[in-house]
Amino acid sequence: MGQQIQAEKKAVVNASVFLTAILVDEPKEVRQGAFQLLQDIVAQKVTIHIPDRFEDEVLGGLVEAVTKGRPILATPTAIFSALQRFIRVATIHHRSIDWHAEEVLQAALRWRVSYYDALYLVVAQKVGATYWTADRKLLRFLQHHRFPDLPLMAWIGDYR
Amino acid sequence: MAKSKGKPRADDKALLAELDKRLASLQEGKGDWNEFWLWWDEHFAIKGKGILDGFLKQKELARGWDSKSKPKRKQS
Repeated sequence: MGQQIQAEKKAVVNASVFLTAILVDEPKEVRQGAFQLLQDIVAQKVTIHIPDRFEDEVLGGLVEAVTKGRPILATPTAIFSALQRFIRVATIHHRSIDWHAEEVLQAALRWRVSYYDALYLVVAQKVGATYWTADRKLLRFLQHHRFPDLPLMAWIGDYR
Repeated sequence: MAKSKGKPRADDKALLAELDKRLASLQEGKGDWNEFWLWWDEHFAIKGKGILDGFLKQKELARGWDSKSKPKRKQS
């Protein structure tokens, strides 16, 4: 990581990116990347593509965050509603229409990642987007194995 | 459960209306994003260390990357 990556016009983001934006004690460099991406979504400088499971994943992370941490002011419902403001303009990819369970399963087995990791990567591959995540271990693993059919991937801390 | 001590809860509806107003302004090129994010953190953020790591750790487990787990023994 460390290198500065120019924002792609199309981005697939996973829940970790959105969660970073609400977790005030996470490192500044990670949050700055997440903030910049959200700004670019609002400014329509980038179009985001997400699978239809995205909101469920964000909600799962939010439950965990509220359980382990302390919301500063807004209720969890309001925090989720606030995050939804940035999802409104996203293109949502639906199961059995835009993606199929079988192809995600095959991708997960081929890339040796979880089914849900593969789902985001498959969507990114289909639309020619960069996959942005806060998960450095996943990126290191995938970059180390150099699977030939992966989409572009990047760490959200490198988003500019 | 979340700890409820501290500041009283804000009116969510009013907060979200304020958020929409601020985002609309920014979309029109008015306002300052740095100021927006400071306001965002004061209203919509969650305090707590290691939350993201915990979330990512669960994802590692879903990949079977748990280094502490022992390999399965062959069934006889």
